[in-house]
Amino acid sequence: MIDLKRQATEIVERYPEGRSRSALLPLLHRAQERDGYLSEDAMVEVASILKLTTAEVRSVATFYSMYHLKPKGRHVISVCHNIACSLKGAEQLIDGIEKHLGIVPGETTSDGVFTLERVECLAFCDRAPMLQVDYDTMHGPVHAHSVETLLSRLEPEPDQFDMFAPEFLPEDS
Amino acid sequence: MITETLVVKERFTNYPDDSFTLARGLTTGAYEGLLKVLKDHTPEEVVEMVKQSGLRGRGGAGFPSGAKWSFVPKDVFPKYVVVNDDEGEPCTFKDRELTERDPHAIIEGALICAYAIGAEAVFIYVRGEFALGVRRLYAAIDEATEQGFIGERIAGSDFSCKVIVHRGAGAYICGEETALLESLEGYRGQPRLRPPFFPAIKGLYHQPTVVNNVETLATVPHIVNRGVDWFRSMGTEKSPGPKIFSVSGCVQRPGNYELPLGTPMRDLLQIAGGLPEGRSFKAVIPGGASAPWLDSLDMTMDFEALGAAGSMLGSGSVIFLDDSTCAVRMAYISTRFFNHESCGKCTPCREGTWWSVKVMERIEHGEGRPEDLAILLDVCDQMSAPGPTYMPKGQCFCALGDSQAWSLRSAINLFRDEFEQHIQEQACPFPLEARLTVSSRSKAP
Repeated sequence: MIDLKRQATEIVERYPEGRSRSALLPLLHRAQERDGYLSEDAMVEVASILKLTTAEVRSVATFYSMYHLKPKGRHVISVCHNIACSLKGAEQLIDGIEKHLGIVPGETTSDGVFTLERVECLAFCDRAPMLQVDYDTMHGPVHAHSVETLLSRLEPEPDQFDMFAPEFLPEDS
Repeated sequence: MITETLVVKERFTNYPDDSFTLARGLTTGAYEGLLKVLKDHTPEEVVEMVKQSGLRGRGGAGFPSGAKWSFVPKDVFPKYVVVNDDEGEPCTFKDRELTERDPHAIIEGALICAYAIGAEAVFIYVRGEFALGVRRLYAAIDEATEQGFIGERIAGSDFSCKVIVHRGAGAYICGEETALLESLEGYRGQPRLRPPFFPAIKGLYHQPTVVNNVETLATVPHIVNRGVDWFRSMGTEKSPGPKIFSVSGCVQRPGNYELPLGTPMRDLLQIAGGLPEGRSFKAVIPGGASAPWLDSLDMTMDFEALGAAGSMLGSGSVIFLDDSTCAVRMAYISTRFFNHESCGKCTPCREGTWWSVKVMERIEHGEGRPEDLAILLDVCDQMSAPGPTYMPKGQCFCALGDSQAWSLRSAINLFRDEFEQHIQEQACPFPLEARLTVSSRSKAP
């Protein structure tokens, strides 16, 4: 379990003295990694650690697209729908995933395993159409017919739960 | 047969398996430039060298890097170097590849810059979605610290410097340097007013700061090692040196290609494998989605030539469109992007991108109205007054709104017939497969 307070000490130390607010984005990443999303409680906790108001934390958390204020599925599938991917069939890919999972972008499967979302360019355009799994591994080119194989490799393994790319700090025991 | 000019790409092209490790770096010249400046050059000489080289920023604006470094006051401390690794310009993917495959080149370039301006720390602001890049940067910093290239009294000199990775969280606007600094300070990533917030004077924590793009900094060690004359032997007088072009869209071999600035656009298309079999050229977006579209291939890839042609080099990402592409659909996707990424700080951009995407959506989906093109052009003009040059007009707070206006206005001007056909026929004339329509179940947000 991630101990935010202990991590905060280490993160704050990276920045110049008196600049602890710079630790806000890294700490929100860590809180989201711990809980799977940014709960109201987590934002209150981060605010208290950094001596900010909850409103200040919420204003930042709602600005950035990688922070989620609601729970998501165990695996988040982000499909790029920008220019290069569209030219290579991103809409057909999204359509294929919708049919396979029975959800549309913004939704989570009823078993809580997959969340599908549309995203803007992820700088993987030479391998369009592309998708990113769990904000980490990028795959491409991915076509509708290979979706089933790709997703089947991501079968739910609760003990391998790794929804968000970690901040690469040592884990607290 | 056109071949690449491998400079910044050289290490990872030759050693694709382990180019990101310090062990491989040390066999291929990594940190030699840093050691050289620490041993042989004063900070002033380094700034002068970069000035003489004519190196211009590779992130989009093309600002002369040496001049940027020289704006930093000498007697104000602390100072900082911030690496802009928040690559988000649609269809640009060079900085991601560089970060993943040659993080030591970025760190070395940033340390040389820190030495030149007297900075005590380097912050690498890396795009949140670049998970592999973040891991590689952390690993590279650990290796370089252990080897004594980062930290106190580097290589026995008086120069000490820290390197800190700061991961973003998803916001295109943070590629704008003052928005990036806001984000690095823990705020919403919205741009700052200039003056007074010119980063060189009032940057990170309101201290003097140089913000440079990843590719720009990765180029610096080569200039130090091989000299100004070598660098200027490539490219043009005003746009010297090599540049990585991210080529995507309707080409057979999309990818990052390193070629001298001033390379003919036709050569770039050829090296990327040309258009798909049986297709013909329709348009090119020569500098990322922010750049105005062009319908000609007869120009060279440098800041001046593309400016003269009515567009811009931008980040150097080139999107080729062939005759099967619907111009309206591409303009709609581009508009949707700018609307999604508008930070909301200023009214013309927040409202302009929102109304533009509404109108574009109805045109592409067969519900366009006769007055729609006039509405779109009027909105463009309110975001960025028409003019011969592509400099932000000051109607929007930063260049994001201008970019949306430049891009959409150019698409309408080049393909007015196609826009009018969509409206008259109340449908997209392109066949379903080419149209790549948003599926009926999931209307794009």
